[in-house]
Amino acid sequence: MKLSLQANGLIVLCCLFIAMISFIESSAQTKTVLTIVSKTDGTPLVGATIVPTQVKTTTGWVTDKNGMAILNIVEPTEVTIRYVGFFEVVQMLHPSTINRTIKMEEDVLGLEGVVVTGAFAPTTSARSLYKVKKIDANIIEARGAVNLSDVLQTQLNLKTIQDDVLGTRLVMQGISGPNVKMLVDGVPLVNGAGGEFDLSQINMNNVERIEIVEGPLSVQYGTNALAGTINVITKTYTEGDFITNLSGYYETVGQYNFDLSVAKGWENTSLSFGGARNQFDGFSSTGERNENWVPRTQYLANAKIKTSIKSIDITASIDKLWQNSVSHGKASSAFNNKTGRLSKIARDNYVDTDRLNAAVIIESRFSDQHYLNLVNGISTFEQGSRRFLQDVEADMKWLSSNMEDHDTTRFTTWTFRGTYVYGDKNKDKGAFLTAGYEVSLNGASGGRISGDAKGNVNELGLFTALELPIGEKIKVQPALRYTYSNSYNTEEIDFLNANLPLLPSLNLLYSNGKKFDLRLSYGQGFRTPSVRELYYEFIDANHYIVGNQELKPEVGNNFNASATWRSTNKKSIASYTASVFFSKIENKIDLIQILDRSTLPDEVPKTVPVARVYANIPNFKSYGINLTSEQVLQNGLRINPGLGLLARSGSEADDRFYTSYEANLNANYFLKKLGTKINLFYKYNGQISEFARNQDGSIGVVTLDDYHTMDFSVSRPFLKGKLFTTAGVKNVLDVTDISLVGEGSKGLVLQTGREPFYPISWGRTIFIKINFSIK
Amino acid sequence: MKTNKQLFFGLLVMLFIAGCSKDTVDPIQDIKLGATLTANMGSDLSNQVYVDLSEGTLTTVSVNTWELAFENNGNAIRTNSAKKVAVATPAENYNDIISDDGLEYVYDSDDGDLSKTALAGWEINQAYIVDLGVDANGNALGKKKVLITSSSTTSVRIQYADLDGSNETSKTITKGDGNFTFFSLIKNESVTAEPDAWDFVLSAVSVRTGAPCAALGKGAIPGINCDIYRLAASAMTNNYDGIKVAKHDPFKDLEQNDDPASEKNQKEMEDGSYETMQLSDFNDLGASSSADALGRTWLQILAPHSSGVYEVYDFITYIVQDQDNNHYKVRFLAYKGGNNAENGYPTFEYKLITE
Repeated sequence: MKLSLQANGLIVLCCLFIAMISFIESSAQTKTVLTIVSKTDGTPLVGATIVPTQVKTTTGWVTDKNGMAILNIVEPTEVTIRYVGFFEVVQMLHPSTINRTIKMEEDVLGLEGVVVTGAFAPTTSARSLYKVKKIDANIIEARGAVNLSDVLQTQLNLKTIQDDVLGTRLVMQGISGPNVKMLVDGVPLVNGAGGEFDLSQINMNNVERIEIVEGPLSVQYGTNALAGTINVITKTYTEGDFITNLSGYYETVGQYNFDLSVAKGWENTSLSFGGARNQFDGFSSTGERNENWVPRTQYLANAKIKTSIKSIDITASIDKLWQNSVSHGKASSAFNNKTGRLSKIARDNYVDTDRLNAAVIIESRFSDQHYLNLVNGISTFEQGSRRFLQDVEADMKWLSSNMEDHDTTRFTTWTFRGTYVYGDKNKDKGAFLTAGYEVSLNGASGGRISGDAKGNVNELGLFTALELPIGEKIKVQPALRYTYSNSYNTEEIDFLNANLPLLPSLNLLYSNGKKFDLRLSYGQGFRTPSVRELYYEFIDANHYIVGNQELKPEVGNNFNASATWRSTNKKSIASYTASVFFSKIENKIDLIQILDRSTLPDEVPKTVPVARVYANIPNFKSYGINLTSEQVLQNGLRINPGLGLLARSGSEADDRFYTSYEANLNANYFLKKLGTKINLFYKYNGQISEFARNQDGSIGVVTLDDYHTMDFSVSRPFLKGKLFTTAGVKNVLDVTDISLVGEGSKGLVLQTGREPFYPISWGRTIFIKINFSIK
Repeated sequence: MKTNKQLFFGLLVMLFIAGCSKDTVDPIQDIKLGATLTANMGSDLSNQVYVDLSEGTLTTVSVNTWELAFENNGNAIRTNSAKKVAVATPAENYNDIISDDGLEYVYDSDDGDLSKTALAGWEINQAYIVDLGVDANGNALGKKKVLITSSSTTSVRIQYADLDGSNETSKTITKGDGNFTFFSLIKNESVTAEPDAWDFVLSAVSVRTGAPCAALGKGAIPGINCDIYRLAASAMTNNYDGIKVAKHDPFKDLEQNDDPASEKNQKEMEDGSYETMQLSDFNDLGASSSADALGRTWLQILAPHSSGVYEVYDFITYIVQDQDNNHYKVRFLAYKGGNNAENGYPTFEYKLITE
């Protein structure tokens, strides 16, 4: 109390002092004093920038701690006032003006927030031709999210699937993981084991925000960007920053995470380093030795340097992950011939995973007319597994003598993408022409890759787009991508039924200021058969899973429409969005069962329990409707309810559609007096079915029951913001396994498919995250 | 409040259990080697292992060495059920056979009954088609048309060829000393496949899984959706030499199924009576002389079958009476074993009982 009195006193003194100075100055010359405040509650905005609009200059003014700036203007000048999280204000000032208070409107719906996904040059949410879903760092923090899987769990249209071997996979709009492009700062990541990306391998400790675009972005990002794209944007630091951040996380299921990062920003350069250790003890819902959530330890290291030379920004980054995990087997009665005793012996796989992502990104806005972006990246994934026999009673283990029980396989993707945008001077309303290239080099090697694999699967894409304004309110953008591949005939993409290897997209945005906007998009997406799908070879006593060199590329057609209405009144700001999509994928690549085992090669036991091959399914259709809303109330409550319907069919479903419903509610309430935020995340996941034709021609359907997930947390800063604590309850409703009903060769858990249930979560837990940062 | 109470009671129960568990004995059974044997059938069941209890010896023989076995002191013919040898009877004469389309194959009964073999009731100069079965990886070894042209107490004369008529061969098989004379249609020669004296053999047998084709009617595709035969591990007694077995199953009234949670699959070795079994029990229990008296009763696969987890009913005690009227109590302990703790390595324990 005493301290705050002193502080208040200081502030009063400062104010007096500044007021005196400004009085003295203003009496000497005619100066203009601008006070920038928030329209919502009148609080001064510290650090708002005021820049003359017309004059090409770098000089401007910044508001002080009272939200004030003193300008000396000699002629009528138009200035643009900007402040993060607020709509910019353009104001005409005359030299005669002495005092002016400007109220800035808070951008509570994030319309002016920068988005980069889908756009050829960075733009804002409001101006983007795509509906970009953003998840900011504060949401990630409030969720106590450790990795990407935690963040995506309560999002509409997204489902995360847990597999004890492959980790956490993603299903977007009912389409599985390989059809979702995974990017970090625009650099594609190589998928992992099983051809799927393991979401638990992307850590959230260095993330600024996540951008999600549903629907194809294949013109921009090439293969895989068919169901959607997820772009993880990492933190960048600016001048004057010197931040040391230390955080610890504990969750009662047995998660212990620590991370440390150091960042410093100079005039034109910033440098950051980080490292983390994440430990998870594993969880078995059945209480058996084989956990459905395998124990693992992750070590992460990252470094990033960004420097500006004139108008060119160069960013180099490197990200490394080491993960050790143990897939425990069920221990069953066996005779241990080493001890001569009857015992319980299990097969345990010790898996070491190694991921490296590195990139050099060059970005330049030479002038308002020219924008250049060069992305050069590499992403590697290496997984080594060794099988041990573990005698759980005698506590001894030994390496299996079967060679096929051990493996190391490595996947690599190199990406080189260049985008050049030429635009009108009037950057909001003019036309933009984009031209670009993308080279993608993919390789794989190791025990589980066929000896037939000839080098790499390489691809060249050339793309172009033209953004055209029609009148004040409408923008359209037709775009095309040409594709060449060394591993298959890209004419299969068959544009206009003319065997052209071209992919089109067409976008339209109608925007009526802040009140209403409508986005229509048509796009073709494609997915190249991956190295794995072509050349995989996993053969052991229990598995025969192989690639197929005859695979054709998947080609998807997707139509998307979304409309948003916004309303502002005294008590609240609200937006309502309705969106609908139709999507059809030809030649979807799927792992299918080999029904006639006699077709297996001679060296493969015909009784092998799992025999699967990659194959094209002629067509796969899905459509969906979403209704979402965002309500921001004056009293500090923010709620986001949503409803979703998804229907899927395919050539294996006799044109029957299988529907599923979703609903979610994310809410937070900010208690200003306590500086405390209360967060709630809820999602209802309706029944969802997987289907495939059985041997006798009937359709086998496996249905996952519905379930609810709910997380609750409270976050609050301490020690003047140095310490930030989030604590809460995850999975309040204590959901663990959800049953799978029905008979069918295919389920959401196709690749393992061993149990009549699917593990959704490890049950109710309590977590706490403490973040300590020194600036 | 209610949850607090539950928690409290839960804790009490846990404490109680923790307290008790100190008193229980080490669950690891001390087994003396010599009385415990592991048969190496291989995870692909490619070996047959003959057991002689009085000598304590195991004789391991490769499965894929013969197709037909001729009874030396009779007319019966066995087929090698351990590699899915099967027989079809075509309508055509031997020389007119060109394919086996539409023919139904039959297998030796998995109970080892000599009167129910695939060639039971065979006739001179009747053409048969013999499916040579599969190799260790399940690859089909081909088919032969076979004609038995003459048979006597000392020899059998057979003629056989590929279905297209190539590789025509005629052989006179001289019956040997043992119980059966084993013949390879692949190597065109008699082979030695079993030791002189044995009590039971651990071997695969062909077992039908799923529906019989007759039940499916028109949609039936033999071998694809019905009449699918697979190999299953079994212990076949040498009933030909008079081996008899009595079985003590304390839970014989419980349903046996593949549900891991079913009551029978929860029972443990301690629930059995191996330690207390006496000679008198052999008669009290009633001995069986059928070849599958041991059979597959000691082994149960658990669902889901693809995981390959087997339950071994170690609470069952068998009393085996050998040719010399010795009695041994036998119990199976494990199906997993060998260097890599794989399936196909049955381990059993046995002991001579004299009183």
